[in-house]
Amino acid sequence: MKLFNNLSSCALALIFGGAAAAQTTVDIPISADIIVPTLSLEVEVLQGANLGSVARSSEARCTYRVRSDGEPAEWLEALDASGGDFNAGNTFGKLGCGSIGTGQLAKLRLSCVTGTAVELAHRGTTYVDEYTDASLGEISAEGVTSEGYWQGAEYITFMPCTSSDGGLISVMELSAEAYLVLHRHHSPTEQRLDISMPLEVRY
Amino acid sequence: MKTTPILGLATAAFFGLSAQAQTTADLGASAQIIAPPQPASIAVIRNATFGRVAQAPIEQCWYQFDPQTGALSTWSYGTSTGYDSSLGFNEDGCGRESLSPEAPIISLSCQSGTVFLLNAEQQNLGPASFSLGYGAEMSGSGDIALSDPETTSGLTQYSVNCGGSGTVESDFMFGATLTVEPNPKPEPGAIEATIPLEIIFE
Repeated sequence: MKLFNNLSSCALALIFGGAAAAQTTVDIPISADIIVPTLSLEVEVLQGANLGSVARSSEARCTYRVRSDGEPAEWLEALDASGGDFNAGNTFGKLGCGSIGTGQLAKLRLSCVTGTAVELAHRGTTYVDEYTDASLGEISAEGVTSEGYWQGAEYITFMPCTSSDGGLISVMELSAEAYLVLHRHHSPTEQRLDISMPLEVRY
Repeated sequence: MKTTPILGLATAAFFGLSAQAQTTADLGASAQIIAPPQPASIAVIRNATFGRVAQAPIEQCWYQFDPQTGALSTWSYGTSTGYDSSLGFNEDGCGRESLSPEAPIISLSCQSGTVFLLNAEQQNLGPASFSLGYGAEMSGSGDIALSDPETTSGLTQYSVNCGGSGTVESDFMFGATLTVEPNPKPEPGAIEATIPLEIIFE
């Protein structure tokens, strides 16, 4: 029995003698390529807003806007100072506000880094002369939820920069509403108005 | 009665012969020497690859693998999107381009009843620091329990408990994290490092 115990001990010692090969450490290779992206941002005007032919009244202030409101996408509306409702184009109120023709939204092309939030800022009213002022309205992109609010003298629209193809740079087409306010004039005359309204884009 | 002395003589002669021939014996014994089962071992199945990720001008950027899905997400302070697994960049300038990232996969093998610690050291290289996070079993016997990670001073530690019977083995995917500081600016080219992973028997 003693002899058997001695042999068993010998065999166990030989078995554990081989345990040195256990692999208890490894190094996990890990890599990354760190880039410093250029946050490029560009905006281009594809077409300006067009309010068509609108009337200046000698009796009231007339406000016109071209807006995006589903289908049809562009409406031209007039409000006279009597407090009447906005109406679709081609109508004249009793105080002489009205329009002929179809309005056209401003169209912009925005290039931005996908995933960023872009601020589009404008200053509200642009004064053309003492009888005329204009302003930009809502800026939107189809299928994109944006939001806007006043911050000091600026109206800022936050536009998420999205891409359908997953690319680094998104190119988005934006629409901008426009308002035109024609104050009453004792002797209105026909004129052509070309108004420039500044818009700044930034991250 | 005459036969009794004869039998006694014969018996005496037999015992006399036996005592002379056998005073030692060789007892046979055999054993097959085999490689012992390792108490625990570890192997790298897949390296960790983050691909092209951005350094932001001001904020820290975090890039983290989901240990369940292997998806890589971007996160930085102050963003409304939270962890974002989509391509592109957030308003802080953190984000990634469309290369295929790969979460690290580790194979653990151990004997039933073995308990040990698994230590992983955070690695810092320039603006980047790499560390391991949660681990999730991808495949295997389901008998190896890996604890949630506990991180202290750059050392991430897991408790491992091997259940089942005999030798058990499982593959784990880890939620590796890359933190990119806004400074210093990176050298051109990929950053390559290794995260040392060690089994510690208590």
